[in-house]
Amino acid sequence: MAFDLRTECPAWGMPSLNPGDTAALALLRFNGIPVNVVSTAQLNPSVSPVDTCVILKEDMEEGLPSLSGFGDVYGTLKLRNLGADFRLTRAQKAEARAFCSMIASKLGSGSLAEAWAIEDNFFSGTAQAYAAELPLVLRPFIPRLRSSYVRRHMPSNRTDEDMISDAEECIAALESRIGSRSSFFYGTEPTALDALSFAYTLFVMLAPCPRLRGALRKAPNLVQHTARVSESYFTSYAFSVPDMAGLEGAQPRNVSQTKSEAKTSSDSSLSRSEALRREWNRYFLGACAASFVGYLLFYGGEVVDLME
Amino acid sequence: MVVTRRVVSARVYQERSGWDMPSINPECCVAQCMLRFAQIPYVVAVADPGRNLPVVELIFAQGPSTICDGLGEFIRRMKDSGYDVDRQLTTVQKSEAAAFRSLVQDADLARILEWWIEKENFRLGLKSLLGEDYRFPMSEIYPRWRRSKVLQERRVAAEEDEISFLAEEAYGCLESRLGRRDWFFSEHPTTVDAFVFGYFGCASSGKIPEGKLSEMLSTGFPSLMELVKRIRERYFNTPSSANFVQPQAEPRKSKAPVRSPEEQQTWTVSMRYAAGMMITFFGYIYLQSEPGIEFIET
Repeated sequence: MAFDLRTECPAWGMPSLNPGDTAALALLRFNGIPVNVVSTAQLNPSVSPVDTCVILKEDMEEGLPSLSGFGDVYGTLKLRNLGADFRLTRAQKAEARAFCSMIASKLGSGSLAEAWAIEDNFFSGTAQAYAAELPLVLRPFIPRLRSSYVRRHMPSNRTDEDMISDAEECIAALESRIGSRSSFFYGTEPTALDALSFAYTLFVMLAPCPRLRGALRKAPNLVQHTARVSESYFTSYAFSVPDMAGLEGAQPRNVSQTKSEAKTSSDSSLSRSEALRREWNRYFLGACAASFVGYLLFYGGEVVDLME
Repeated sequence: MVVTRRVVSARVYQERSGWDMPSINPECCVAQCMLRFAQIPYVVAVADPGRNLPVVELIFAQGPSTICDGLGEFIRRMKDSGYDVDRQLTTVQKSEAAAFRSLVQDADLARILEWWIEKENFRLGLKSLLGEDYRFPMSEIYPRWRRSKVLQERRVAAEEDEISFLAEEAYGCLESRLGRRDWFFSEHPTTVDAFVFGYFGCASSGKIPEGKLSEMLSTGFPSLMELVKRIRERYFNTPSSANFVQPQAEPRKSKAPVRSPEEQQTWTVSMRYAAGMMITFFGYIYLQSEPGIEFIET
């Protein structure tokens, strides 16, 4: 059995910019399944550049066409009794499922909001990482397109602030759940929960997510868990799990940082619909100004004649 | 030293009640349930359209009241005020409770799909229910507007079967976690019980003529159904709850909508701006009208 895993572009040494891709890859590696990572999915004409991206293609002869998303990958392995999850008790399964759900919805939304929706973070890191493998002419446009797609698909009744607070709570919950275990969440074999926890924690560590990194600073056990998975299963990749002192949240802040964070927090306090409305207002004003200037340039002479 | 102010009562602004639930909005049910767990008397009123529900006004023994927009803020404020219903849990149990709350919220997508997104189900179910409170033409306009708002808030790229399967799986996890116990954790109800009452209770009690969800939930998850029934009987419908003010639609004293101080400030500035524009417009008409007319005449 061999898989082709189409992912988004690699970034910051991680296999993919999308934590869902990294989680799928981790799950396959936990089970010793050989994977061929194709990391140019955003350039593939048959794949939308802004769609969810984990696409797993198995050998067509086995009758499984293609799978999309971490859930599908997990479901396929479960069907074949692969992985350590099926050895858990019912109560453990229920608990693991609840934690997986929390990581995907709370930590996923929070990290997306911080890395893609807050402009300072987006322009300072995410946009460059996403654009690095794009053709030069597309670099100014595709990352913005992706950012606006992410913002559009976030719930409009929740602010960035809410989502980041939820993500911080999620990190604290994972920290207290893993406690001082020296191996994985459930015993000595890694499960789907370990894969998801590893992928999203790694994303927060390496992507421009200053607030969530601050929360990770208070979660040393979770950081150790991520380092453990990385050392055991991802030695061939260029990323390294930063130590606690290396996390940005641990650095003493200077005045300019504080000012930029204050600006960010005031921006993020707007609801999604309000931010979108203001953005459209800016476009509208820009279009009005452009049409006015255009009118003056092309018909200015006639206006002057009329006035005379 | 942090001084917590004692909450003496609360006012819950919510979506209307119906289908044997305190509200058809699960988040409003959760808020009411938590207030009852914490033994805080409250009254309910119908919220202004367009608000992030539930809006809960916490009234303190001293000082001004606080308005909480949305369930997340309400839970945070309750904790800050010393009314943490999870206070008896250990740290690990609290983390599990957070995970199960998230699971319940994720499973709610199936209810949203059936109640709001599927057009025919919406027409037969919620549209007629929501329209009962309004006269024509608002009875037609308001439900459609609410539906468009829900569609805007929830952009989901998933198939119906997939969503239904995920909900079934999530509620299955909750069912096996609850087992034969009375409450999810320890001897007392916690936030997870309140969330299950709100989300699962709403989803299982919906009366959509062609809907399959309520039937699937009520037959497939007996322990969760029992939990919802237990909470309803013990906290919402017994003589022992005499210390609560029974939720009734309280007539609003003023017609002014409830706003947080920031919203009130924005509203005031907007009104002043609108008044300034009006004055400028009428001033322009008054002062500049004659030359304009002369120009047209010439």
